[in-house]
Amino acid sequence: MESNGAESKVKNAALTKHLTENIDLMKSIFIKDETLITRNVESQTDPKISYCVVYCDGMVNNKLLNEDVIKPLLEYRPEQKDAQLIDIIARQVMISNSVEETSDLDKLLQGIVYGDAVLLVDGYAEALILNTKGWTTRNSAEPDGERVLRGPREGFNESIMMNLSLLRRRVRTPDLKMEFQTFGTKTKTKACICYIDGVVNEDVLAEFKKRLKTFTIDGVLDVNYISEFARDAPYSPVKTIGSTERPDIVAAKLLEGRVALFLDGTPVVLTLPHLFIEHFQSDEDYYLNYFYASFCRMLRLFAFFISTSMPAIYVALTTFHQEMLPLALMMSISQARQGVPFPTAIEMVLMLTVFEMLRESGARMPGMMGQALSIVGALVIGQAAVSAKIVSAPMIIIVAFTGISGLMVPRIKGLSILLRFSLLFLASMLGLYGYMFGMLGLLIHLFSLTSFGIPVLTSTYANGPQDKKDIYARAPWWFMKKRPKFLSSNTTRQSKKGDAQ
Amino acid sequence: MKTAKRFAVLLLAINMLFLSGCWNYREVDNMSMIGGIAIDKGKDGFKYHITYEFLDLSNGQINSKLLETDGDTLFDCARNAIGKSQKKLFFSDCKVVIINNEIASEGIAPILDWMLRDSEPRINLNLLISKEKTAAEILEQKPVTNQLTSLEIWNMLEQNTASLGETPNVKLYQANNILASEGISLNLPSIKVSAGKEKTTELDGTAVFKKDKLVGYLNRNESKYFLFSTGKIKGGLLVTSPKNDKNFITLEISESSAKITPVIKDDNVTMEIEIKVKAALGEEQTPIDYTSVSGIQAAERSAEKTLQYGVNEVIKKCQSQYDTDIFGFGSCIHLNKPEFWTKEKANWDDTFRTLKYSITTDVDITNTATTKSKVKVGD
Repeated sequence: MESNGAESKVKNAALTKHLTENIDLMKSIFIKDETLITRNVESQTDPKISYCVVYCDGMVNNKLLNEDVIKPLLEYRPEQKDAQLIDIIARQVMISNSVEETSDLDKLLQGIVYGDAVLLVDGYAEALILNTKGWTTRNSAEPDGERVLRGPREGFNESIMMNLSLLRRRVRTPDLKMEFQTFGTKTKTKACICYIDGVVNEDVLAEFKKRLKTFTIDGVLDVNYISEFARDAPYSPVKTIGSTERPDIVAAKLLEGRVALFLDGTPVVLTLPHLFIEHFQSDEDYYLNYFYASFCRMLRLFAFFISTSMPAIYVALTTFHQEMLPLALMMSISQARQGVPFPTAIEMVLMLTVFEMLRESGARMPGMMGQALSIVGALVIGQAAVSAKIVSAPMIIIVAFTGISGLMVPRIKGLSILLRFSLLFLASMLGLYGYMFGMLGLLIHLFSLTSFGIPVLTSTYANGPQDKKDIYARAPWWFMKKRPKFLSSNTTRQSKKGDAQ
Repeated sequence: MKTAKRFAVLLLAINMLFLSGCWNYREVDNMSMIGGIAIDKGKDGFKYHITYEFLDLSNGQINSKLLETDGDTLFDCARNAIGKSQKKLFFSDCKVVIINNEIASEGIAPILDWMLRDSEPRINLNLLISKEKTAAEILEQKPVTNQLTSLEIWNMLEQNTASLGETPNVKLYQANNILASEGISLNLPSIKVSAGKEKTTELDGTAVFKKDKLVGYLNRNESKYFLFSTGKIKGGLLVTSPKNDKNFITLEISESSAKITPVIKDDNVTMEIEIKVKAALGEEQTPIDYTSVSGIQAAERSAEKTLQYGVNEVIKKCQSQYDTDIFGFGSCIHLNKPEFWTKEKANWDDTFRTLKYSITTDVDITNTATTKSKVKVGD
């Protein structure tokens, strides 16, 4: 098959002892790929001893390649061509920090496409893989989606090794384990499972590793590919695997006994298991005063309630349960609705959709157009629509309030929007009765949902103060003596002598 | 098979969504919110004539409008309104129901049924008895500050209870409870059109019922002592003249309670009424300053006497003139001495007419507001 061309060639081929044959093999595998460079080098003393450096242009650090690979090769003056030549080169000539000798063609090709240089030596069916990786990466910047006012401002970038170093800098213990794995039959993307030995929940780790083996895919460009394969309840809108771009969050999650998965090419790191309350936890909670942090967390929980329920409750009250509205409020709503052409429910759906469109267009738009958007959004759609009597003013207030509260809990955005519309649909058909139906459905779903064997609502009904300390309120650090026992079997976090586990 | 079963369960669940509950979607702007209604005798062979005061929001302002319908029952009247207005009447915000005194003297129990039965009217709406020829006249008056006369009346009632204490405040459910109990008769606030240049509505004491039939009225002063005797005073003033010389001291009541205990001796029952009042000395117009310790005590004694006299008068009036137990002495016996009540129940009316009672009053002046002495006039 055309698409499997290179693979079938690799399967049937092997390195030979002739350099020219090997070079031709490489070239035939990388046919039509003009980034492949083959650099022939001959020994000054004996032109019969010839080498070839094979690499991909743009993936290697040219300076490194010139000075640490080609220069020593040129300067090396072998006495004679003996059987150990390739070993001598590997051990005595190459300056590169990682040299691997192999005859596995597949491995060689992997090296080439990953920025390593492959050194072919005439007369040997083996080759050396030299670490010359040197592509450019983005600087580590604070992730836009997870800004903090106070606290570390580092964020992951697209290089897995860099990301792992950011984590390693925070957790300096040999107990921090990093196991590599490759995903994607075509992309061969490197991934790394991280956990702290002795703290991690072994069951979760084993289950996660098991699930990672269950699927194959041609390429993974972001951790979400893996997340959707490995997660519990794949149809559920509720997240069962968390993700973050912040090294401090990953470090904190690992210290609580969670597992993290890094993937090359993306700054996003998966953490699991993921409990429902994690949507409402922010890393800043732990860097600020605990009273303030607890207040903010409860505010976030309230905002989630508002952003999912406010439109539904408003529609239910104004179209089914008018007796529940105080007369003064009812008067102003009724007055504002005089002459509005649409039924309240339709009006609400329209306005919520408009808000989502404004939000989505704002998120994907170049920065300097933001002002134009706010003018269009606030003036045209808000004020003009009200004065033209297309929507009523209380509706705008409700939608704005709903939208703002939704933005307060960005981690749960998808679920918020889905719930908002489905509760609204139920409420506009059955009033509060329908709203209750929806809420019960949500609760039943949440209570039955697990993340790698751990119920996602565990924390909310866990017993004892030590399991409650970081749920609705964030307890002071000196109070958090133990890890949540549903996450880690080793719960000792603080000990009297201060020798942390 | 399993799939079919699941599908059937799903279908049932979905049906539950659509077939149960109250399919009752209606928009607020298609309803006329009623503030109050007035019930009169019907014309042209109809039994009732009802006047509704509702909010008209149609031209961007809040206006009061009246609508009148006739019918043989209240529900009938309410539905007949559809023939006169494009918007459906909405009763949940109905705050007051004003009842014509003629209807009331024939018995108000029948007209309470619909209000208690229907889902829209609230059980905490206020009932009032109109002293005018028709109850509609009350709603036709211009409100003083509110947009709706009914809301004005409702707020007046609440205010009256809180800081005047001259009108009972009886909600629909309370009226219903009173009617259902033994040994107590209904009392309701009464309302009239005020005399004066700018005519408006005015709360005017208590309408006294025998069971559910209107028999007469108590004036505002009598109403106050009636409320004292039943412990329903929540605020208001107690004006007393220590020397009976038209020089008055005013006490502002902060707390008041009444306790009625039936005492049975030789098959004769005596009601012991104990009224406790806590008040502040609010105004002094007497030549002597009462703000000393002994003065305060004198003022307290005087207030106690005034209170005792007033309560005595109102009980006597109900015994002799109206012959109706609005104080609930009978139900008090029923609760405390059930055996005695079963004997007495049949001829309670006769017993009540000659019922013995004793009144003890205890007024406690807790402070003298912001001054320590009365206004002094220098020589």
